[in-house]
Amino acid sequence: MRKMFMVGLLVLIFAGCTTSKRSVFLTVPPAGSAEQEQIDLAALEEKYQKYDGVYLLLENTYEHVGNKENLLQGYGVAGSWNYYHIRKEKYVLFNPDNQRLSTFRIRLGKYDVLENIYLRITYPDGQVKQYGRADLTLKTDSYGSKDFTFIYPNVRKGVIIEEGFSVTYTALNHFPPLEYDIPLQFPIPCEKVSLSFAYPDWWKIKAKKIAEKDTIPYRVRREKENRKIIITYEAEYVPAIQREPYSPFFKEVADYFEFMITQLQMLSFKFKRARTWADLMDGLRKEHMNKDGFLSTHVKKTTEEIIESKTTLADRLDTIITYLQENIEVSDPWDRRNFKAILKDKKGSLIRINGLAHSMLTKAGIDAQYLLVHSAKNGYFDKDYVNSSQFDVPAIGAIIDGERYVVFPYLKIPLGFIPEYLQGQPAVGITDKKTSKAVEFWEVPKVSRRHNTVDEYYDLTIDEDGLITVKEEKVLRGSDAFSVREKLADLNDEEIEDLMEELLTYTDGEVKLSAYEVVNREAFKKPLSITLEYSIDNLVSVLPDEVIFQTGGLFSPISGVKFKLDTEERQNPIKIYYDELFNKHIIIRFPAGRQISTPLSDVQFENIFGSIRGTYQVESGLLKVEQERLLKRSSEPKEKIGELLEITGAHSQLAIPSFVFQVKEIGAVDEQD
Amino acid sequence: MTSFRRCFPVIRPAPLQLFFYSLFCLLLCSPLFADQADVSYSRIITFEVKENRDGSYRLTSTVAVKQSYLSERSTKENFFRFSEPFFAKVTKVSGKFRNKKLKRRDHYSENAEHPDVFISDAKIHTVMFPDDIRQGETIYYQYKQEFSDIAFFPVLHVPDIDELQEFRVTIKHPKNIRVDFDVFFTRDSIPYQIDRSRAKETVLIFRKIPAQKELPYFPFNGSHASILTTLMKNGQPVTPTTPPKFLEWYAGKVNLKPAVNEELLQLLSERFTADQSEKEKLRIIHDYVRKNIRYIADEREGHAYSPRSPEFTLNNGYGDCKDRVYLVSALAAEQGIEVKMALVSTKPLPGLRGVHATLFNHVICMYEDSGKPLFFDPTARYYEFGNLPEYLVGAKTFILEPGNPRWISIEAPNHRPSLEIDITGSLDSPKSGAAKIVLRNGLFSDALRAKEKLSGVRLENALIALITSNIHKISLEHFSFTGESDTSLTLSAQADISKFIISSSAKTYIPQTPFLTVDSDILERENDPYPLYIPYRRALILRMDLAAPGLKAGAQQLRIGEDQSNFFASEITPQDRNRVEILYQFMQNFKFFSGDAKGRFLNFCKQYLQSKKKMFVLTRSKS
Repeated sequence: MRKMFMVGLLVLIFAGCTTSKRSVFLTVPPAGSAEQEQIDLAALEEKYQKYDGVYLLLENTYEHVGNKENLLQGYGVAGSWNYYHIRKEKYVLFNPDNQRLSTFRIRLGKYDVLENIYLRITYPDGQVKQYGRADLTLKTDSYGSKDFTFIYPNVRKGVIIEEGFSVTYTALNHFPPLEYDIPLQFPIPCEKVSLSFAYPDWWKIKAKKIAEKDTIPYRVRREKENRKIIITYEAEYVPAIQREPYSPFFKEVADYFEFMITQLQMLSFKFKRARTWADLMDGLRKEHMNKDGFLSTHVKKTTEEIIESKTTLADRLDTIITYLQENIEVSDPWDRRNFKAILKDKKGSLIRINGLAHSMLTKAGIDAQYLLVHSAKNGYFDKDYVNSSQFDVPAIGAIIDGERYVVFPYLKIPLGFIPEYLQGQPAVGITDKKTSKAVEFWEVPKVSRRHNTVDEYYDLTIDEDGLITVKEEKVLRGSDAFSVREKLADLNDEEIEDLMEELLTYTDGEVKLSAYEVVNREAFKKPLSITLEYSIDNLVSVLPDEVIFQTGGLFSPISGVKFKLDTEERQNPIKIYYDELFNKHIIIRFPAGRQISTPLSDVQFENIFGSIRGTYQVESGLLKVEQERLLKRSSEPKEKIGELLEITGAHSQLAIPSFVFQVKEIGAVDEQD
Repeated sequence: MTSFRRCFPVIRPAPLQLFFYSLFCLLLCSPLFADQADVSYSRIITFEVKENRDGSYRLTSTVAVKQSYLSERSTKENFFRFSEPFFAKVTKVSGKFRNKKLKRRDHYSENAEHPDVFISDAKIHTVMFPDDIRQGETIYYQYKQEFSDIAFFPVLHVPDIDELQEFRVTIKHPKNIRVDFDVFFTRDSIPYQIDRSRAKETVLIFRKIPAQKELPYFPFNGSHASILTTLMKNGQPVTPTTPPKFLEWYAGKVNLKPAVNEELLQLLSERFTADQSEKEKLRIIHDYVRKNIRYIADEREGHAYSPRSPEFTLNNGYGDCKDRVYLVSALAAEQGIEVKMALVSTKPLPGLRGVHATLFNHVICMYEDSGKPLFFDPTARYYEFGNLPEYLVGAKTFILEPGNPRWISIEAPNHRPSLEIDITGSLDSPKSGAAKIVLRNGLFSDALRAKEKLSGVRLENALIALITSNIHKISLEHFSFTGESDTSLTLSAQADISKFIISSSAKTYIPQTPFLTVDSDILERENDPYPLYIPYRRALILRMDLAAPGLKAGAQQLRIGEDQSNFFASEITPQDRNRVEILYQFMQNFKFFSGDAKGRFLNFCKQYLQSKKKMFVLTRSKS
């Protein structure tokens, strides 16, 4: 009886388990087996000659294995949840010097197990060599991380390399990823790409769309005996993805598969992802809002002190955000200082500084929301894919007199300026009210052109002997001002002078910087102005009856691209993220006895990407030049690249390499050899 | 000795130099290097030398660093890195801040990664301090090193850090050991003390050295001095710093006459004939190795210094510089030709009198051609036999020749101009000229690489960057390859000289100086007494044969430079039938300039820059 009871108990314990068994294994080809498939190396080389190699196959399989429940549950996930990654590659190598392709490397964590591996190289003469785990070199570091490496022998053009490995991760030591973001296009072409994700059939997953009506086309099948659902994606002849100027971000043009597990149970570990944005944002509210400090009034007092004399809400917004931008330093992301401590220590994590800003604005009577902004770098925004990975940039949204502001309290940028990859993007916003779980979707404003305008003023005086004195002022806004301010941060006087010398427009002549001034270095709400005064000694040739002025870099930087772009083989569409205006205001003063003989005619040109304009006005002893290049926010097909180059190309109509002045009277001359 | 290999184009510092490199990256190359001191820095190194029963020696050291933060901006620097080369195992890393010891988790080590090395035994250690360091506070850290061989007693560098409070080296040694220091000052000599008051201890101390401003065109920025330590016992060197001792030490690790096996004998046998000269045979071997052995450095198990066997390199088809040189030596030996290994640094060496393994970062081949050394580098894949990459020209190399180890400076190989451009066209239509371009030496090598690896617009852009970066306002494009020899590549291109030529109604002007070979920042070095170093030499020729209808020109010329080593010359010569020929030549034959030579060279540069406004004048005929 007792025996039967024990047997019954064991049956209950083990038979009662819901187990998703492993269904995918790495098959290691038998060593010495010859290449079966006939591969036309010459045809492949002809087709893909400009690449270092071509993948014939690239296959990734991810699989989760374990128990949903059993009678012994309550002991976490230890020992019951493993996950596996199997990767298989087969490629033809055209460039043996490409070390990435002619070697093997895999890095694993301390507890991750390289379960199985084969490496195989087939030489153009048909000879095959195969290697296994024993052939790998293993190096570990102080964390116990493992670095397995192998160098393929005798690699030469046309070798075929096959790699396959499987790695086991245990949930106890390496918590499994619950979301995946897998690129499906690579730096070299791929003739066949395959991706599988196998998971217990009681889990639920969701895939993100990559375009409005477009999800990566995957198939779903069930394996009842293994309690498994397997989703599979396959594609053929996938072109390489290349970086090109004026291109969209990777996820805006390339294929990738982003999906997440929305619901699972593995023994006592139960997980259910927020189903709505409101639920998701509630977590953020709990974690990073209402953190003034227990019974603390410090945030309130500080806010009141700051806005004491500010009567309008717009002024208060400006004052509070400026205060935080100027006084609080961004620390590590895991810094959990509360708002009082942030104000006191003048340091806090980016996400908490944003929470502090929200708290202060609300106390100042402003209708503010804590925003998370989607970045263009993340590709298409799928509203049905509720995951914080879609919104990775915190910001504050404020509504004042019906006008919407999106501001960044942790970035030293003026109100109204928004980084280009966030402009026009969606954002999700919440308030700190625990009672209201509602979220609001915002569209981040597109920044007006004034934020991306560069003005350069040049006042040049050419004296009788050809010495040029220059007063140059650069007025920078938006991203340009931000990046120069970043460079200036923490520099001492000597280092600033070195930087100023780098900023000089003239590079051709013998230049002596005599004075410089940086205005609004800290006042980042205002344009950054840099004034440089210098002389140039060897750009003017004074001849008996004519004077030649070689313009150095004065008229050339208005061109945007200094190298050729491939107009025929361009792969990516054209994307310009924001309007950009570049103005040059040039005054050239020269002795009255000289007259410009170089023909100057005004330039005006316009197309879908923008315009260029140049006007020249000659007076006695004076030449006034106004140049302008406007690049407009655009999204155009790749075939239009030629038109873009008419605005940005190296052969700009605005370029004037030299001027000739006629000497009207006999003057001092620099006689030539 | 550093790993003897070179990966194009990155120059890897020696393992010991890596230590300083890490430190310099953090301290010197950061904004902290400035007029007002940001940090006060001390480094105390204590070496202990013990004699083993078998007469060999054991070397350990303790390195202790103290840094005080003098400015607000310096407080952001809260972590420090140092390297663990394969020959000096690091243990007992510790740190102290605010009277508390750092926790174990504040120190970690990683496998060293370098783009030039695929696998090595080196490690990088990091010591982390809290991120709230305040001005006026001080951090301390220290670690121990156990050296695998006393030969690796390191060359020490006195770092040029803000305010160097103290640099102290204490060597504890047996009574019968004499310690000497060979000190090379990178600029002016700095007072230092050597204390030998204790029989078993020798101490070298530098104190309170202010920072020096970084100089352009100067090879020793970042260091006040380099120190080579020599240990002697009864007049005999313990550390192998003399040429014979160094050779003896290295030969104890590597058979300098690599064995030849049957496979090697077979390898190139069909390519050799009895009537070939030794140089012809060496060219075949050099070409085989540079073209067929791919560059991968596997430095495990002491292979940072000793090459793998020729069989290994041959069978696996890869290796680093020393592996290739060793293979070449073996293949040459099979033909009865002696090729020696030559250790070299691709960066200027400090002027120390002795030899040390870590002074070198590359190995090349040396063959004696009728008593004259002929160097070749089988790692430089795109350099033909007898030619050398520019970074080797003028370098001091140590020849590992049994019985005759010695230093030799590498002379420039027969150096024809690297760039010759011939442009034909008309001043009437300056946008549509034709150019013939011949590339040699480094430009030949770079163009060959581009030709092999790139196509289409990428190749065109690479060639534009390579060629037109040398010339001013002359545009060359639509390149096509028209010829290739062992030493040169010939291309044709469209030439646009419309921005180079300046025209008015009465005259046409042609600049007398077209080359972008002198930067004005070199003149910053006019007022200091230190040597000038330019990493590359130049030899450029530009010829123009231009139709000049309706224009008249007399012969005009410009010449700058007093000797054949550095000069520029240009001249215009009228030809028949309304044509003019213009010839420009630029030559800079040396890389190091000191004393009077420096003054002459800077004067040459100044004159060249001032001549940028000089023009050849062509006058329009009144008819």
